Amino acid sequence: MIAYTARRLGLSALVALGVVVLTFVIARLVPGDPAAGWAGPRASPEERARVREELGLDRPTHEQIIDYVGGVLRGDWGISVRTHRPVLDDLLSLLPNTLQLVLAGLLIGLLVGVPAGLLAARWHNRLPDVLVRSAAIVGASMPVFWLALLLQTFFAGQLRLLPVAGSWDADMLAQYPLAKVTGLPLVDALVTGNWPMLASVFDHLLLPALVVSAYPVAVIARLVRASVLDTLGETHIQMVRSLGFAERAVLGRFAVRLSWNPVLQLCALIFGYSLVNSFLVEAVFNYPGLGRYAANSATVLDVPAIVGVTLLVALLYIAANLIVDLVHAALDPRIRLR
Amino acid sequence: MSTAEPLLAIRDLRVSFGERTQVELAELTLGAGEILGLAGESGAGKSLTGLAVLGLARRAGATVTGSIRLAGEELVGAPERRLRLLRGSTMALIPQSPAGAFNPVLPVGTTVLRALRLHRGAGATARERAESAMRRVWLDPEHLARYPHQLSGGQLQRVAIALGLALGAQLLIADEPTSALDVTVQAEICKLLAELRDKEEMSVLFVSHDLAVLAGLCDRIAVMRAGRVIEARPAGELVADPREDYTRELLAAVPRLGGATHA
Repeated sequence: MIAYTARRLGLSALVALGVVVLTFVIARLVPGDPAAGWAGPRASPEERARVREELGLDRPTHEQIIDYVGGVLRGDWGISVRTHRPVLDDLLSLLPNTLQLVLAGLLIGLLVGVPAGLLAARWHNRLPDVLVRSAAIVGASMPVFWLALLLQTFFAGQLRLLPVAGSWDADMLAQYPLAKVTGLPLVDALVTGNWPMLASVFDHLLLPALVVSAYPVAVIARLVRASVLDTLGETHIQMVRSLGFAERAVLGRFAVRLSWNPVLQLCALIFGYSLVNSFLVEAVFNYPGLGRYAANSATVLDVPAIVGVTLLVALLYIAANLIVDLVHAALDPRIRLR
Repeated sequence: MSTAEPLLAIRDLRVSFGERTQVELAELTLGAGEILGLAGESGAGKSLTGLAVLGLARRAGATVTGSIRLAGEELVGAPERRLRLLRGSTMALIPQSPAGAFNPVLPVGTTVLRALRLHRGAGATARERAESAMRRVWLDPEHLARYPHQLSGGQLQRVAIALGLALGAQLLIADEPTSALDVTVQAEICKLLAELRDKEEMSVLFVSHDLAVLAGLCDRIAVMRAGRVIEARPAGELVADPREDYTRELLAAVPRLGGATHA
């Protein structure tokens, strides 16, 4: 188990390195001059050249990459050309918001998707099944920015039930400052009993999280349905039926156990997909997260920030996959990791 | 069979899928403490008869008419809720392939305990009942904590029997319970069933295509062909002096050691 984890971590480091090199090269190939952005529009050519030298942009790309990787290992992810702050500080201050959004979407996905899949399997080819399947098609295929705009217009615009954008009520933050415990605003407000802020954060999170959850709900429901239907013909299902369990228990307590592992595997994929989806959702809801940061950085070709965001997302995705593989063995005793 | 009413009495049972009738039993009875063999080739309707008794034929899409009485209670047409109550607590299934009979990601004991709680309510006695049932099938109660892939086919089959015992079933419906096991384990399971019959008055409906196994174990054997019982007599009599040609054919198909099969 330890050897397995170590090998996985080694491979993950290689993947991360690959991501850095690729992003670096791609960012270099795009036309544009980051030094111009740093020095400002009224800078003279001499000033730009000085900035270029200062930022190391005049040196060969491979040297810059080696420098960068060394810096990353020391915790120096470079200085953002746009914000003039260390990239790592920027990323770490925004990461909790995005993580909160993605995890909320995943949680909704599990809480809604699993029961929906069970319901569809229980009433296979009947009305509930047809409804779940149709909803899943919509949920999995509707573009997130479109869904985001629809929900925003309806719930925030027309009904005025929920805030249009942002992550919390700024006036309220002054009155009820948010203590930092885990970094996730929702969790922090909850554990410190900061009820006004909890309500504000929740209200602001609800619509974006619903949008991000559309895809998880759809694919989890489909997977659970297929997996449960798949097991129905097996002897152990016949066996628990012959023991007098009602069909609901046969599916919900026995058959569904076999879909835990596929669902878990799917969660890692969803996590990566949702991270990318959240970029669009954050843009629509003006939600201060990694996505908005990445979008703003890309428009001014802020290379350190772009590479930083990409690397962080890659690391998160790798971590999610590693966690899933380790939990996998715990859920299915037939699997031993080697 | 001295008791007034046998434990299981099947009369005019007809199980059909659409227009096709698969089982047509005029009469078949099973007394308390009796092992009844149900013999016949594949497709003769043996397993379907077992499913019909369990009340599971209907959910497989079959139409069931006639009468199946279990301890005097009519099962055909009984509400599903009542059948669920009887399933497990008075009759239990011993499946054909023990390897697939338990949920692969749950310890076998979990299934046993859940079934006990379902029929006998929550209580500290569930574990005790499960453990004592394990001992009655000559298994270490420790095996309850094992996963199916950690147990052998013979052990799993005994856990399945223990499940019926723990729930207090009086009738075991064994659907080819030994077909997937090798010969020594087969003999062990048969010995166990015989002991349960002798000591605990357990009744067994033993479905098998293997007349050699049935002859060694059963009190009576009913030979089925194309959905009907063509001959039902005490096992010794049937083997020694088969009346029907088809029974003779089945007997002739039993391989013998140390000589050619007789014509």
